[in-house]
Amino acid sequence: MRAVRALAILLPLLAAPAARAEGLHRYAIVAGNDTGGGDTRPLLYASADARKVHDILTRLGGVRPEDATLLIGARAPDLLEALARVGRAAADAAHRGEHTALFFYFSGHAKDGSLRLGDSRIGVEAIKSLIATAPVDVRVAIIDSCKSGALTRTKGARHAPAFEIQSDTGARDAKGLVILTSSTSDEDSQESDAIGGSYFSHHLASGMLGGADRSGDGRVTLFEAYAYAYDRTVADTADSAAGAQHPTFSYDLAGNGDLVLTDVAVRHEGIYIPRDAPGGVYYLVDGRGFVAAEIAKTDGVDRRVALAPGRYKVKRRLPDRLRVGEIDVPAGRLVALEERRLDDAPFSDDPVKGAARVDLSARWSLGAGATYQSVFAAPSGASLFPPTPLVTIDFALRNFLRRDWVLGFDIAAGSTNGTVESVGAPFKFSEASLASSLTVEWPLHHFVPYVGGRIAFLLMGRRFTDDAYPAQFFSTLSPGLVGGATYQLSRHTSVAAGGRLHYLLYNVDGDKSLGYWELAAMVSYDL
Amino acid sequence: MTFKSCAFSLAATFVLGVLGAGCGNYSNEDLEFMNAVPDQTDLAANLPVRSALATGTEAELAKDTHDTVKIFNGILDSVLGDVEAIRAVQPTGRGPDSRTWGPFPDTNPLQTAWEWQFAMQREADGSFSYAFNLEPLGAGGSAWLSLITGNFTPSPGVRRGAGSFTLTTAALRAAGFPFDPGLGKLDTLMVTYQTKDFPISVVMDLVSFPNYPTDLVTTNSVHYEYGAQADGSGAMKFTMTGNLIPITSAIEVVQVTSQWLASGAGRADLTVLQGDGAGMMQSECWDTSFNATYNSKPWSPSEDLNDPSFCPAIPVL
Repeated sequence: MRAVRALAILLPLLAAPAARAEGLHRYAIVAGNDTGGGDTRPLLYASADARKVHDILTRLGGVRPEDATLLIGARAPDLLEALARVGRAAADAAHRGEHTALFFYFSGHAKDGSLRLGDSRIGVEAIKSLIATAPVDVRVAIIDSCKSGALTRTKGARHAPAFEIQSDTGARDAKGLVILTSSTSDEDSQESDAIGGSYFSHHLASGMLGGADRSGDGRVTLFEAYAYAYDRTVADTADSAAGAQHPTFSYDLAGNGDLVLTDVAVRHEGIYIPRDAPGGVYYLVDGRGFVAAEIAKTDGVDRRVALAPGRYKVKRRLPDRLRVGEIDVPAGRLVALEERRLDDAPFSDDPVKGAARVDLSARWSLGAGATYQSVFAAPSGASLFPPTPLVTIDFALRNFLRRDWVLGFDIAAGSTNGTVESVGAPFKFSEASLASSLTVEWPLHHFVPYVGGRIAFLLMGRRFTDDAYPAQFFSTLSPGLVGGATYQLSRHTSVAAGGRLHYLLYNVDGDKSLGYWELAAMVSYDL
Repeated sequence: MTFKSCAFSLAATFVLGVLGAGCGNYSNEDLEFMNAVPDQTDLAANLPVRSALATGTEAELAKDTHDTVKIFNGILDSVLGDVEAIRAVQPTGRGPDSRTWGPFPDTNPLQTAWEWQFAMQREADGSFSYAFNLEPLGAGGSAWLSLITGNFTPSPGVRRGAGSFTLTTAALRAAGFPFDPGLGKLDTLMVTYQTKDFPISVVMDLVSFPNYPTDLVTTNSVHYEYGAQADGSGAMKFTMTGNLIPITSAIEVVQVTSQWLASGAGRADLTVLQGDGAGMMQSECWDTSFNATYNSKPWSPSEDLNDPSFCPAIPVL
C-alpha cells in the first residue's frame, strides 16, 4: 500500500518542472545524536547520517555554509538555541523581503513521545510546534527516528495527497510545513552495516545526490527524494528481522509547486551514468568502504550523481557475479561511468560487503593464536618465570558497550622447561591465564589499530625433576596495557598481532615488581 | 597457604579492586633453604642388594657389611625423616635470610602433648644453619629445645655441598620428652658429610644406650665412614662389638673396612682391635652374588678359601 501511495505522489511530479534551489533563502539545522539516554542502546550511524545530509544540503541544496547549523551529539538546549538563532536570522531576511525556508533534519533516538539527544529530550509535539511556528515561509522537517511517524499522524499535518506542480515559480509562493519521517508511528527505524547508515537517510541522501532525479532535469525535488527513499527503504527492509519500514510524508503547504531539495547539475561534478548503461542498482563506495550513494537506474535513462571529488569503487550486482571498477572524480568534473571500465568479479570480492568494509554492529568473534610471554628482569626473572609460549583462545565482543570498543576475554595455557640455577634444579613450568580486556579500535580500511587495558588472572606452577622439591604455584591478578592491529582478510576473518605490557607483583620472597611483556598473534572469525 | 585459600584471597582482592596481590609458594629462595636440608637418599650407603635366595651362602663379611649398611641407612632414615618432611609444606614464616616451618603439633601418638618447629637461617658467608626444635604444647615458643642442629655450605648442584648435623637427646630427655623406643636408645648422633665432589663421604658417630630404658648411664659408641664414587663403587668402615671370636667369652671389638664395585663384588678386611685374637686380621672377597671367592681367617683356618687372586680389583677409595 505504501508503495502505491508513493507512486501516487510521484507520478504527477514527473511531468512538471521543479523550482530552482536559488528561489529561497535556505536555512538548515542538521542534528545527529547516537545516544539517547540510559534506556536506549547507542546508535551506530546517526551522527554519520547527519554529517552526510549536512554535506549534501550545503554542497547541493542551496544552503550557504553560514546558514547551516550542524549539531553532532548536541543536547536539547543546543537544538532549541539553534532554532531560535535561525528564527532570528530568517526574520531579518523576511524583513529584507526574502522568501525563506528551513530544513530541519534529525537523526537519533525517539522514545516515549520525545526526541532523545543524549540524556536530554524534546517532546515530539514541542519540536513540531517550534518548527511550525518558526518565522519562515517553508518548513521541511525530516526525522529519522524510531516511530517517527507519530509526527505525521498528529494534528496539524496530513498525509500527502497527490500534488500537482503548477510551475517552477510555485515554490516561490509556498508557505507551510512538510514533514518526512523514516518510519510509521509503530515501526522501528533500522540501521544497516552494509550501507553504513540508516536505511532511510541512506536512500534519501542517495536520492538527493541524483538517484531520485527521475525527471532527469538535474534537480531533485522533495517529492522525488521522498518517493525514492520510500521505495528503496521498503525494499531493503522487507526481509529484515524487524520487518518492513515505511517512511511517511505529510504536507501542509499553501501555494503551488514542488520544492527543489538539491540541484545536482549546478556543480557539474560527480559521476554520470549514461543512458545506454545497463539498468540496475549501482553502489558507489567511497575510500572508507562506505556506500556514498546507491543509485537505482532503469534502462534508457541517465543519472547524474553529484558526488564529492575522490576515488570511488563502483559495483553493480548481477545474478551470478558482480561488475566492479574504480572511478576518479576530480574537482569540478562530471565523469562518465563507462561499462567497459567495469570488470567481472565473484561475490567474494564485493567491495561493499568485502574486506574493505568495516562492520560496526555489535558482534562476537572467536579467535585462536599463540602468545610468547617473558618476564622482565632476566635472568633472575627468567629463573623464576621462564619465557613461555602459550596457546590462546579469544572471545571478543565489538561495538556493544560503545562503537569501536571491544570487550575481550581470553584464556591461554602453555608450558616450558627451566632451571633454578642457584640450586641446579630443573623444572617444568606451566601457566594458565584468564584475562579480560577493553580496547578501542580505529578502523582504517583493512588495518584496525587498537589500544586498551587488560587484566589477567595468572596461575603459574612448576614441578621439579627432583622429587625432593615440592611443586610450587603462584597466582595473581595482573593489570596491563595492550596495543596492536588487526588486518581484515575477508568479511568474517581477520588476523591480529599485538603486544602487551603487564605489571606483575611477585610477593612470595618479598615484594618484587617484575612485570612482563607478551607478543601475540591470532586469527579471528566473526560469528 | 593452600590453593583454595589463595583463590579466596584473590577473589577478595578482586572485589576490593586491589590489583597485583598474589599468593602461592613459588619461591627460588625456598628451594635454596630446602636445598640445605640433608636428604636421606643423598647420604644413604649404596650397596647392591643381595638376593634373598643367596642369603644362606653369602660371604661372612659381605653379610656383616650388608647388615651394617642397613643399620646405617636406617639411622639416617629415622633421624632425617622428620627433617625432610618440611619439603612437603611451604614455610610458615619467611624472612630475608630465614625460613620457619611450624610450630605444628606432633602427630606421633606418644608425643601429642608436644609441638615441633624447624627453623633455618642463612648466614653471612652463604651457609645455612638449622634446628629441629620441640616444646610442650602451650609453651608459646618460650621453651624450644633442639633435637637436631645442623649446618650446610652449598655448592652448585642439587643438594651438593658440605654439612653436618647433630642429634642430642639429653636436654629433651631431661624435659620429659617421651621418645619412642627407637630414638630413645640414642644419646647423640653426629653426621658430617660432603656431597659436592666424588667420592661422597659420610661420617657417622653414634652413642647409644645398649641397656635402654633401664640403664641410661652405660653407653656404646659406633663409628661409620662411608664413601661412594660416581661409578657406583663404595666403601664402608665400621666397628663391631661382641663375642665375635668365640674362643673365650671375651667381648671383641673389630674394625671392618669393606669395599665394593657397582656390580656388588667386593672385599672386606677385618682387624681385631680388642678381645680374643687382638691384632689378627681376616680378609674375605666375594663375587657379584656375594658368594665368597677368597677367605683368610687365621682363627679358623678351615674356612680359608683360595688365594687373593680371586679378589676383584677395587681402586682405593
